[in-house]
Amino acid sequence: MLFMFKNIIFILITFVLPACNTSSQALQKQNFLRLNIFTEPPTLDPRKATDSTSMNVLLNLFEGLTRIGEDHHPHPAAAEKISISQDGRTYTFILRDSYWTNGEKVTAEDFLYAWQTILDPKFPSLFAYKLYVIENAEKIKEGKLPIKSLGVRALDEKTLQVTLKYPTPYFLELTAFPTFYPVNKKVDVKNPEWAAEASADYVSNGPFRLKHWEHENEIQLFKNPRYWDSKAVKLDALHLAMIDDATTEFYMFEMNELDWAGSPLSNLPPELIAAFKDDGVEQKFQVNFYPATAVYYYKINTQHYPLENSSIRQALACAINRKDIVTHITQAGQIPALALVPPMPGWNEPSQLFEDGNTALAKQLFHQGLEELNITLEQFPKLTLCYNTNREHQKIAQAVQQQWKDALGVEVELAHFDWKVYLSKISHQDYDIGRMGWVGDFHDPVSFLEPFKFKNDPEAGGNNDTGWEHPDYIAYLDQAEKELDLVERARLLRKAEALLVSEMPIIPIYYIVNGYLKKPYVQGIYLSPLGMADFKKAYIEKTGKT
Amino acid sequence: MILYLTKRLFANLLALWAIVSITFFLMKAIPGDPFTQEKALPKEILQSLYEHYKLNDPWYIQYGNYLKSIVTWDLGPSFKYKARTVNDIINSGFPISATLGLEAMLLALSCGVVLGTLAALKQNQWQDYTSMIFAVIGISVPSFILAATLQYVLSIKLDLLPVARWGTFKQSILPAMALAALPTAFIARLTRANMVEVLAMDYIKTARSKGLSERAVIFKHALRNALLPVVTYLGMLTANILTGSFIIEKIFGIPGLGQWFINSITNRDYTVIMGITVFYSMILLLAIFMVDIAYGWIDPRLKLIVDSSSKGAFRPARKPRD
Repeated sequence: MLFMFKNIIFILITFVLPACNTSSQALQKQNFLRLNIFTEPPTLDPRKATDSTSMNVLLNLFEGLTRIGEDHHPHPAAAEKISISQDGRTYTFILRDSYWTNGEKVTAEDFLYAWQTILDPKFPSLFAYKLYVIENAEKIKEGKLPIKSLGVRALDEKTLQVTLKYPTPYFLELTAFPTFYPVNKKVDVKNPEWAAEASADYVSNGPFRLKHWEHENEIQLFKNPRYWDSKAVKLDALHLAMIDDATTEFYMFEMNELDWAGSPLSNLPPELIAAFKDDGVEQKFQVNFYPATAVYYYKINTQHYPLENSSIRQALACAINRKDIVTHITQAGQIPALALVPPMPGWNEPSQLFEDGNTALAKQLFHQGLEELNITLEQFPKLTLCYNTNREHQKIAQAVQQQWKDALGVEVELAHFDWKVYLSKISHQDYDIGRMGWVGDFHDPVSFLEPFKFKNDPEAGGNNDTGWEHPDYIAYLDQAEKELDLVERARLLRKAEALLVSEMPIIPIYYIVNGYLKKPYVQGIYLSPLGMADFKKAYIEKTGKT
Repeated sequence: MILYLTKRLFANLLALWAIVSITFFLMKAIPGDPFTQEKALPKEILQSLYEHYKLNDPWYIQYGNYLKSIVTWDLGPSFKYKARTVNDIINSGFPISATLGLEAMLLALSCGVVLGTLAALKQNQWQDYTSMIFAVIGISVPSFILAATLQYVLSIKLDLLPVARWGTFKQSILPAMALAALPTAFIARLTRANMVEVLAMDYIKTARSKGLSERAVIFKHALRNALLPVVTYLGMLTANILTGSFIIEKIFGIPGLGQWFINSITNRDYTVIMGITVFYSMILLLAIFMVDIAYGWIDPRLKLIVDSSSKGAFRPARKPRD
């Protein structure tokens, strides 16, 4: 026993002593960036990816027919020339000579093959519906049409012709999205699990190649010398760590172990944003903000009494003081939302369709609603405001609860749930009012308006859980879908948005803004408002001081 | 002895089956599925996913498949992490969590026993109070606060150790300390309480009156008996600490197994939930089993004696002390 005790002391000493010797981190001057992507990417097969982590890694590994440039517009990438037919429905892509990382040529067949597998009813692809703009795509996924009927033809090795269901002005933006990337057919047929590891079978055609993938720990992307535009790629590598904690990430940034913290690859701790935003104080760190094409809103269940009354819904919307919420609670420069569609390239001026924090108007609308319902304030039932468990959502909900009580005298109860429980409650329409965030899929108002076109069948699911539907709204969107004149199309979409807001099945709260910290020497990263970071042209400024 | 072991083995398998079944039905009862997401999926896509992952089968087929996958130890692919199978996840995560856990356990055991013994020997003196203050802090401060404090003081302010991540011994020190705090405190309290009790026993007086040195009395006679409850606690601790801690692994960015216990449920990643629950249960049952065996070996008073009345059933029995 004595011997054992001695051992224990020995072990204790060996454990405590090394803690005293360490070296300070030498500042990096290598030509690579160290970033944190928060979690293991669920997949690096572009056909299966749905989450932003996977999408961001894929964006740097692959090249679609087009690639979004710094002007936020799509530019020819794997395609060299693109021609569009008069009716706006047929796109012909002439591919440039470009190569996969294994040296094989990227062909039109690779694109066709990738899209066909996604639409195969047996292939597990969550984002298959992104391809539904292509003729017959939806019917093929439903199993009603054979795969051959897809509106895509590989006319020869370098020519891809795509026929769309409707003229889709944002189609070239879609072709830059990972779901539209090519997949090397030979490799995929030979080894369907090619995307599971950083092996020789992991072939891509973008600015970087997958060099190393230690699951749940780190991914390393190296510059791809076979990329057609490799001259433009300045970095040798990207080191992507997976640290699932915003505070730890910030500490590592502070200790010069990371070159970047925050959006879009992860998030800054909310309390830090508030701390660094303190105006007039010399700050150690400067948080950078950029607008996201995203909106934070409250969904209303218009099937629930008394929320079926649109005056009541409008009163609730007007009674919220968004300016207070963004200045005192969220504090990261969010923009109060007085319409649904956030500012985005090609839609620079968001509409202002109702008044923010106008309690007098809210009271008036509320009393009008009570009269229409033929009840008094005392008879007005208690409402429940739901959100998924999260401190930020809670703080906003508490503020709104108080504002409604002060302005209208309405009693509101707060309820929060685990994320998936919450989503399933909302989709079963078992709620009064619930919070939701919506990030656009592409830079077009349709990405925000389309989800409210048809109300959901609670059994079948869908995105419009409000129970609201309007024939005029459907008509405006249908007309816009077929409209070739872009000015007229925008007018129709504005009309649809105005109708939606006047009916108020959702209450817009604010347009989301992303924040990040970066080392001053990090330059040239393209940050898309849709939540993507393109490192193709990123570089390290040599003269920059750390 | 062999019969006893066989019986225990069967009891354990039964327990395992019960755990698997209860987990399966609880898991199916919670709302949401692996494909519930913010942007709802069209019906045909959901159907194609259910078909692909065999979620359309009736529950007894799914249940049967799970049982089969556990028996063959082919736990299937993760629903969320498409590049990973549950076997991969366990094979890569467990060694990391176990290494960290072992470090923490050695730390906890050594510090805990030293502090506890010291406290008992210097009862109601400053050594006792200091040790017990540490113990109370260790028990009452949540591990995430301790972890953040350690990070802030030792990494950010003093720049002694890396903030996070995994790979070198230095990177393992902070998480091991954070992980060890609670068991250290617990072991210290346990050791102290038992040591105080044992020191008051007659045989210690006898040993002292025989003229044995104080060292021999403490180490040969007292500590040995006082540590028995610690061994019992070690069984549970081993299973817990070796399979990793969600909070510590999250804060320190460690690619261990602990994170999966929570994440798999959040993601409704059915195969992962089942796989790691079974794996954890196996480790736990094994650890308890080992403790039972170790007990007989450490404590000669404790023997597995044959109870002739119940046809060769063995049961552990404890002789009265002294």
